[in-house]
Parts: sequence; structure tokens; C-alpha cells
Amino acid sequence: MLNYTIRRLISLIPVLLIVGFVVFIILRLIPGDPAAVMLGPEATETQIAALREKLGLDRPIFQQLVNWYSNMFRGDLGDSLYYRQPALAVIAQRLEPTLLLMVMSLVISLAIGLPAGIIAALKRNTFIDRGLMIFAMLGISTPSFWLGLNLIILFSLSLGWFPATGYVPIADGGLFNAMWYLFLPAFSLGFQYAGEQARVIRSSMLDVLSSDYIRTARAKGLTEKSVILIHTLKNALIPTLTQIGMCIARLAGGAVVTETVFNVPGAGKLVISAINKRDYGLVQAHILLVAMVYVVVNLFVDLLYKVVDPRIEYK
Amino acid sequence: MSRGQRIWKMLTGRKYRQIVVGVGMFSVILICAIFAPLIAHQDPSFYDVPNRMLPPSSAHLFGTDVFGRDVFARTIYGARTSLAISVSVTVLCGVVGIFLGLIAGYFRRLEAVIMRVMDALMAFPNILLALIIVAALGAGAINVIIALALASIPSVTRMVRGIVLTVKEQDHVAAAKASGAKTGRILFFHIFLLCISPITVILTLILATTTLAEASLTFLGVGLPPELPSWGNIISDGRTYISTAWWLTVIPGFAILWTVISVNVLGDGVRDMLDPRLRNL
Repeated sequence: MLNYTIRRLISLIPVLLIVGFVVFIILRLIPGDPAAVMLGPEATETQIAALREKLGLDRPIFQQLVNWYSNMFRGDLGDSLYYRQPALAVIAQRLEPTLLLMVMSLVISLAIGLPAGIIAALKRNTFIDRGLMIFAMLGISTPSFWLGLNLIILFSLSLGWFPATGYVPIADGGLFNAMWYLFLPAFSLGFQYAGEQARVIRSSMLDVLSSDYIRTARAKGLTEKSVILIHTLKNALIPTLTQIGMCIARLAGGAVVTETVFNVPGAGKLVISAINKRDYGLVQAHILLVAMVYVVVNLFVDLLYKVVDPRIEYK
Repeated sequence: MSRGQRIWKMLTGRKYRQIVVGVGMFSVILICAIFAPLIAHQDPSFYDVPNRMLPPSSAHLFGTDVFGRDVFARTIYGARTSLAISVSVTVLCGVVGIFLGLIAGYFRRLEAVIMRVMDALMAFPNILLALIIVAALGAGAINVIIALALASIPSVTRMVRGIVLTVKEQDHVAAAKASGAKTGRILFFHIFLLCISPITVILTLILATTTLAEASLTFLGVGLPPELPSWGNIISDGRTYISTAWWLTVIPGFAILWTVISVNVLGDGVRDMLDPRLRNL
């Protein structure tokens, strides 16, 4: 296990190098001189030259890459040109609503998806199963931004139950108030994953239910409750772990869309405005941060597997 | 039982039912896209300012937007845009992903390089990767296609490589090698043809996610240019007026929902038909 952990940690290095390389290349894909593009049409020659020097664009490309890596591994993901601050600091200020939104979406998706998938599997091929699977199909097929707009129309504008847009930080209005603001956004984002979770858990339940040891458990006279809860569910939940791991990165992507729809001043909305302001330093830092979190979370999920399922052997 | 009855029974039977429903639903969108001028009589880009923001009526089925453009016509023509983009992305993903997957699976030396690049690309959520690529290259249909394809290629490559790794150890590949077949021939006839069913399944999945991702990107204003009628644009245009004219956002969204459901149902059906072992998954 320790060996495996170390080897997996080492294997992160090439992935992170390539992740950094991809982001580095994308910045160089901007047609024309990035410094001129970033500063806009009113910039003077000297300003452009100064920025080129600051960004290191006047140096040979290989040296730029080495520089970029050494900064990256020191945790310096560059500066935001618009805010004139380290990009990470700007992102950190906007992280609270985004993290809360992601956590709430995940909780909502699990709260809907897990029971739906479990019930569907237990009532396989019945009316209930079909109904739940149609619901799950709707979940994975509904564009979250459109669902969000529909929720605003129904629950904010018509019924007035929830605020339509915006966010009040926890420090100003308390956690409950912040969650109240984020409920509709979290639901619109979580609904999609609820559908996915339901489908995954249903199939893995069915898989486990047809295995020999479940037949044995039933044959030796265990109650149906203990067959389902102890023998089936514990094993069937393992694939859900992978699903959650993959969800986390995609939630960060989804948050960009949802925060725009609901006008939540989070990290996702920051990226969109950074793109419009051509603040590539900020965009670069954000995407790199998300990718790193994804890589680390997935490593964590893989390691957790071993804890949850001792049968798994790592060679 | 007559022949017609037999065919009817087969199509509505368990094996093909989902495929029939999926193809049927998808055909509706396809017909809308191909025969758009016949279905929608108004010009989707015609500015009819005196008749702006009209609610749905018999003259304007989905109402009119802030410039008086007919939203029904825009939605129908939007099917062209959406399908053109998502089908191009899927084809591009298929070609590049299969090629890289075959190479990565067959040639051990290239495997590490290709797969690490794919791992890295996988680490970016696809909407964010597309977002930053479009931001760098500039908005426009071609750039959106490239960005979305790049985001989905890794999943095809990974899957194809996985199958190649098992298939290439099989006896028929060894037999082909022994009888002097060239590498290209082995890769195509003896390996690739065995990967077709899982590839079909994953490509339908990509078609569905791409349709959603393109609409989201365009909605965010970093996808297709605003004058092009596309579903993301229509909803984005209507969004400003949701408190007064909800139909501008609600109705066009059903087109996206319909398309994505049709492709997902089709994908589930194809998967079940090709590989009954996967039926529960």
C-alpha cells in the first residue's frame, strides 16, 4: 500500500508537467502578440514591451517553459493583469460561493441519485424502475443552464420562494442564508449528476445482486434486509466513489455556467469575466488549479478504494 | 404472421425498442435541420421590430424575440447549427481518438507519451478546456469544434487502447502476423474491426455531451457568434427578459433536451444490442 501510494505520487509528476504544458501552449496559441492582445488597442509600444518583458515573452521559448514550470511548482501561478495581484489570491477571494455550491450540488445529487438508483435496482423491471430511469435520463439530458433559468422563473419570479440571483457571504448573513441563496444553483447543477449517480448505482447493485455470494447469503436464511444493506449495498457503492471523484472536476466546470446563470460572484464567474477582459493570467491559473485538484482527488479516490474494498490488490 | 407483422414485432421487441425510439426522436431533429426552410416559413434573421416580444401565437409559434425575430424559425434553424457542430466534433473525435488509441495500444513505445498527454487532457473539465481554447483562438464555429473535440478525444483514445491491449494478445493476431500481414492490415482488419461496438457506444455519448457543451459555451457568450441561430444563443438572448417573456428561454430549451435524450436513448439501445452483458450498466 505504501509502495503503491509512493508510486502513484511519482506518477503525478508527468501528468502535472503535461497539464502545465497544455496551459502554457494555450496561452501561446493566442494569435498575434499576447501582450498586445491583453493590453488592448489603446496600449503604447512601451507598455507592450514592458509587459512582454514581465511575462518573459521576450526570452527564448524553452527558457519561458522552464520558468513557467519552476514558478508552477513553487505555487506561483502567475499574476492577474486586471487585478494586479497574484492570480491565486484573486481566485481565493471568490472561492467561498464556488466551494459551497459544489458541496451542495454533490450532496443534492447523492441525496436524489443514491436512493433512486437503489430503489430502481430492487424493483427491477417494474413500473417504479422504469419511472426512475426515465427521471435519470431526464437528469443526464437536461442542460443545467436551462434548468437553472426554469427554476428562476418558477421558484423565484412566480412563487418567490428563493432569491433569483446573487449571493451573500457566510460572514455577512450566516451559513443558512448563504445556502438559501445557493439552493437553486446547486439543484440545477446537481440534478445532472443525480441522474448519473442513479444509473451507476442501479447497474452496480444489479451486478452485485446476481453474484454467487448473494445467493449464498439468501440460501443460508439471512433476512432480506441484511442481504441488501450489508451484502449488496456495501459492495455496490464502490463504483459510486469513482463517480464522485470524476464529478468534482466537472462540478468546477459546471460551476462556471451555473454561476453565470444565477449571477453568483464565485470563481467560475470570475473566469468568464477574466476571459472577456483578456486577463489570461487569471484564466490560466484557474484552469491549472482545477486540473491539479482533479488529479489529486482522483489519486485520493484510488487510494480510498483499498480502504473500502480490501479485496483490491495493487501490484 | 405476415412479413410486416414480423418486422413490427422485431422493432417493438425488447432488443430494438430503445434504438427505434432513439432513432425516431433523433429523426425529428434531423428533419428539422435538413428541411428547415420548409418547416419554418419566416427568415430566422429577419428583424421585425414592430412585432417584437410577442407571446406564442399561431403566426409565431414560439413568439418573437427582442428584435422581432421569429423564435420558432430560429429554433428550427438552430437544429442545423447544433447538429453540424456536434456531428463534426463526434466525427473528429472518432477519427483522431481511434487512430491514437490504436497506436497507443499497439506500439508500446508510443503508449506512455500518448497516454500521459491524454491523462493530462482528461484532468481538465471539458467545458473549461473548451472555454480556454475558444478564449485563446477566438470565437467561431471551427474553433468551437476544435475545442470540444480536444476535450473528448481522450475518452475515445483510452477506451480503444484498452481494447487493443487485450485483442492484440489473441491468437488470430498472432496468426495474422505469422502469415506475414503488414502492421497496418493487422491494426485495421484484425484489431480495429473488433472495437467497433464499444466505439459506437462511446461516440453516441460524445454526441450527447457535445450538444450540451456547445449550447453551454454559446450561452456563456464564448461559443458561436451571436447572429448565428443556435440553441445556446436563443436562450442567452431570451435570458435578459425572463421576468417578462419566459417563453423566449423555456421553449427553445426543449429542443436541446429532446436532442440529447434521443441520442442518449439511442446510445443505451445500441449498447444493449451489441453487448447484452452491459445491459445493466
